[in-house]
Amino acid sequence: MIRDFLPEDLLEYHETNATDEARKNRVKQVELPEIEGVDWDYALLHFPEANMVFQTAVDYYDSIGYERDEVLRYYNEIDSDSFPIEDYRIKVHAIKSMSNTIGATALGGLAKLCEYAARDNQIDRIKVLTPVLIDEMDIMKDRLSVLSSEVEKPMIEDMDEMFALLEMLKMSLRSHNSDQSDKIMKQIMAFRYPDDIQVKIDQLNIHILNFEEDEAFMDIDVLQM
Amino acid sequence: MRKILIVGDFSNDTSDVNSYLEQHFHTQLCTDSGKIVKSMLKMYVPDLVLMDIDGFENVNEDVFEAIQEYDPSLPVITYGRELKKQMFISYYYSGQCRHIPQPSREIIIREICKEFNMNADAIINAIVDTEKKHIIVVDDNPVLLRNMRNMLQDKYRVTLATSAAQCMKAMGQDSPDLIILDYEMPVVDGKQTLEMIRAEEDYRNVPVIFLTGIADKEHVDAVLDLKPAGYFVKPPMQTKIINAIENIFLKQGE
Repeated sequence: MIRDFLPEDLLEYHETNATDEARKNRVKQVELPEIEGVDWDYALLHFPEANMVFQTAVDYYDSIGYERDEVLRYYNEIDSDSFPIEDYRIKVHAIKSMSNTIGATALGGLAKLCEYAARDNQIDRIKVLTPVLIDEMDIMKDRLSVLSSEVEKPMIEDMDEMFALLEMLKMSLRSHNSDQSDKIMKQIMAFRYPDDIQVKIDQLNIHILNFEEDEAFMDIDVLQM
Repeated sequence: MRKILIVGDFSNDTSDVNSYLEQHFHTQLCTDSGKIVKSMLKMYVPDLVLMDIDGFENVNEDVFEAIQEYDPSLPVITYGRELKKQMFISYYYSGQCRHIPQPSREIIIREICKEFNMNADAIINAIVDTEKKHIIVVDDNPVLLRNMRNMLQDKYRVTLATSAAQCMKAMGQDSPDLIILDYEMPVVDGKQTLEMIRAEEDYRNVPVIFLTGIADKEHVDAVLDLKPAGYFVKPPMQTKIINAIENIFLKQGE
């Protein structure tokens, strides 16, 4: 070992500190904007670089509206005999994990309380906590909107371009290339479409975001007609 | 890289032809519909079109028309039964289209290389780099799935699944070398998914790493009782999970 050849009295041992490394990464990479309720240093403990944290935060932003609607959908059945408490528990559990991944630990903590209430079958506690969780998710979505670009999208001029992109998307889905599917979906979403088509494109986007392949294929078939 | 548009019926699986061509060319698959081919030609601008005409019927003449209208000098190589070629014989008279009646990997590559004045032997004999190990990640949460893909895709081929059903389907299409499995999923949970995997002879020994969002003792014990190759509390740290995966592959290699 090279250490054997170095003078012992000049050696200095330094343990890398995860937080220091996280801060160094933050400085070197993409500029992560200050967002209330989001601790980027916590997120950077789990990723080697800020670009990955940023992309995960963008994915989280794209999904949070849908996840919030799902929580509300379950919550609306809370007074019925068929309240899907297990599905609710798993949903808030997922929200907890997602939130912690990007450093939104306060929101993650709130989702954890909802999860434990569901685990312990505490319906009254779920009734109190869930509206707060939904409000906080709305607030977080609003705060994270700084991550998305607000440039106005151009109206698509050549529908052949849309057909071709849909075909590429279809083939990516068939070969289970989710990275390629995401990239092509982003290209599709970079345009605006006539209203009747826009609705279907937005629906396709949600199905791609949620890896709902069968539904995505159906959307593509309709759009390609 | 030369661009090849591969036209055919890919409703059941993506083409075997594509799997070896994409190592040496930029390829794009396309359904055998005239309307779709027309749009793809404009967008993709291929250097050559390769068509599997075995499934073609008279209605597919619009595919030939679309190509001819786009660029009558764009080379087209078709393969399939001679009978099918005869259905569209007029498109071969001009010399734009050439037909391979009995295609093999070598013959297709040679025909393509002839078109591009490339050294076919070099491509046919090329030693392909050892393929990346294939990992299937199963989690009902799409954000976490993408997170895992971003962490792993530089080193591995990653397929994502949001449920046990998607996982089993993905396994049937492309065997995994390792599975990362969320313990808590709705409908069919991680434990039940593992039982389904282990019930298949071919996948009995595929190592499984569990991901769990709950770190209490009872939960961890339940996970460990399943004797996974490893487990992590979510969200996992990239370096730690990659180290764990590499150790599993190393032990398998011993």
